[in-house]
Amino acid sequence: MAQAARMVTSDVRKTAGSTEDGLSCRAFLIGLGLCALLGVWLTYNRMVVQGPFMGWYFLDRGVLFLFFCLAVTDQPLARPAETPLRPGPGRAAGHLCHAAAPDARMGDVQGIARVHDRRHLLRLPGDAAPGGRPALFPAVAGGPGGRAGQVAVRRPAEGRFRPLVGLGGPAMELGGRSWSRCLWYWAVWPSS
Amino acid sequence: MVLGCVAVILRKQWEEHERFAFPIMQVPLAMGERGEGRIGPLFRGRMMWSGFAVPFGIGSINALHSYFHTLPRMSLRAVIWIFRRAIPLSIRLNFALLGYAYFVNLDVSLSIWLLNVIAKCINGAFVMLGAERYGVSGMVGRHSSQGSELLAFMGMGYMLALAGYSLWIARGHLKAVWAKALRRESSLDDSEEVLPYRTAVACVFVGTLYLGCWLYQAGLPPHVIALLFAACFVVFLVLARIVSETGYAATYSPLNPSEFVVCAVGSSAFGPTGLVTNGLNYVWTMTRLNTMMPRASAALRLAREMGKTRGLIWAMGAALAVGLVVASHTTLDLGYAHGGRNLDYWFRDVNDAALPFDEYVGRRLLDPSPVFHRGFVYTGLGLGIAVLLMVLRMRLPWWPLHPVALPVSTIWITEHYYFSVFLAWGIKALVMKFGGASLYRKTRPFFIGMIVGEAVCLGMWSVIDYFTGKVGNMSLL
Repeated sequence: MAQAARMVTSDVRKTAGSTEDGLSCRAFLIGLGLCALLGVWLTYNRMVVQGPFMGWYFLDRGVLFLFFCLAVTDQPLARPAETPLRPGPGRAAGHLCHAAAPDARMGDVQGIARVHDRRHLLRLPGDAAPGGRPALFPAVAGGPGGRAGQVAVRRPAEGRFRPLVGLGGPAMELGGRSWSRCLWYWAVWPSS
Repeated sequence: MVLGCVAVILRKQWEEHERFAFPIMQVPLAMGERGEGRIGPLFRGRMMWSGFAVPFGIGSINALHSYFHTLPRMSLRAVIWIFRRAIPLSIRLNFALLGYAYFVNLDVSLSIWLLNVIAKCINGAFVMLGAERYGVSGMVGRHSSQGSELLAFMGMGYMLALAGYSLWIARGHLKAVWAKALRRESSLDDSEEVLPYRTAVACVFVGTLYLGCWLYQAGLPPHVIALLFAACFVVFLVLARIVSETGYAATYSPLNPSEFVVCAVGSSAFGPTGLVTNGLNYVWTMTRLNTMMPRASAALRLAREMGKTRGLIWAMGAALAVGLVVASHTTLDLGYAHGGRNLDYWFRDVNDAALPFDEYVGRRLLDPSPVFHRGFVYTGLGLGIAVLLMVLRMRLPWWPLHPVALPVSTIWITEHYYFSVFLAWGIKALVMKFGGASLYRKTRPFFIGMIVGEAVCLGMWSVIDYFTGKVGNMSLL
């Protein structure tokens, strides 16, 4: 099971364009863009507009402000996105689905998920359905070393960055709590 | 790079062995939390928006006052001069500090304001008696504990004690890291680190060697470089520990490590070239804004949320490089485009551009200083007090004063904003006494809202001021 899950997970990460550490190329580039933005904005603000008060000791107000903007920009426009497959029981948390059949094979479509909330829409290339309608639930059961009743489910993300004003295009394709990973650009403030 | 690698080496010790809470990360983690609905749980609560409204409202009124002078301004500060007008007793309210201090352990916040009051009394008595001057550069600069030689060197003593304690506690881990770096038998697993220990140790050595060669070529003698690196390592290590353990965000060194070295060996050991080099070292030694290690430790803590993080260090390095290049270019560009003397007063005169030359170069060149022997006595005194406090803290369960608050008790920001810490301590103590942990959990969003509200207010007015051409609009000061 663990082996199957690992295979599936690595496959999906590859599909999603992520690096091995989970930070996708797009998120990385957008993070660098934010660093450049902060580098110009905070320096200009410090030298010309307001003085030193946006970045005051460890009170990184500039970064917090940007982070707040990201959060509130993202939330109302949240859409489902792909997240890595995670091994789980036959009944995925929060989703109605049928457990995998004992004779299932990797890649088989195993059940139907009733989607009551658009956020819970399970989306995969080719099998996603519009919000509010039942969507085919792609579950992976068994597989090499797997056991019946165990599935690896593609959990819908609970939110992610969507269009980011001024930067164009989806800003971050990060799901759930893990989108706090973009905070690594906190490290850039000292240079500003 | 060096400090980032030191943070990598100490991450497991601080996160998993000593279990630091990293309270400063509470705000971004709470903002990043997702619930059932479209809006995160933090943004759905009334408490958060109530806290948000306070600094946002006051800051916006003050910002509007800059545009329309008929609108009143709400001042958040008052000064009472005490000890026969020798030193100021500043009463200032800073919402972000109030918010952060609410997450600080009660004993630590009590220690911060109480030890600051004690330091004020000592400083006031010395100034009143004519032994020292307040806020004037003497043997130490005015940015090191307001120019008080006693408090500044005692602060270095506190730092030495805390650094020694940190290394002593971590000795087992450091031995294992060293063994891992040398590929000896070691039970330590570094597969979850952003960088293998072997690479991290190598980067520390190579980076330190590179910095040493650079400073040597710039004119500093080798023994001064060694002493400077030792002093900087002590300061950076303790600052990272304070920020990671207590969450007290407004932290810097009570004594500039460069000044400590000048006082320890005398300015004649530097020579004119060495003094200029030492003055320029201000940008990375004074640590008022730019110390990397606490930020690297915090970033590594956040990286734990990601699961597998190997390779993230390169992303952080790239972010740092981009920020450094862009910010440096912007600084030079603005300096040449507008003329340095025409830029913001705080940048020009108070904190940045002129400071290294006024405080650390010109003064020492014009008035060379011998070895400051009293400084060693003061440092020893501070070290003794810190060790005593550590022993009391470990031996007596009821002892409330925490030694980690000692170094920050004398710095400028605590001197002026201790009242915010006091207020946060008082509120939290009452909440914990009458409402317990559940009420504390319920009130946390209010204080997160205060921090976010202040940042958003300043950020929003920064953008508005940019478009309207307004300068010097300090809405929350």
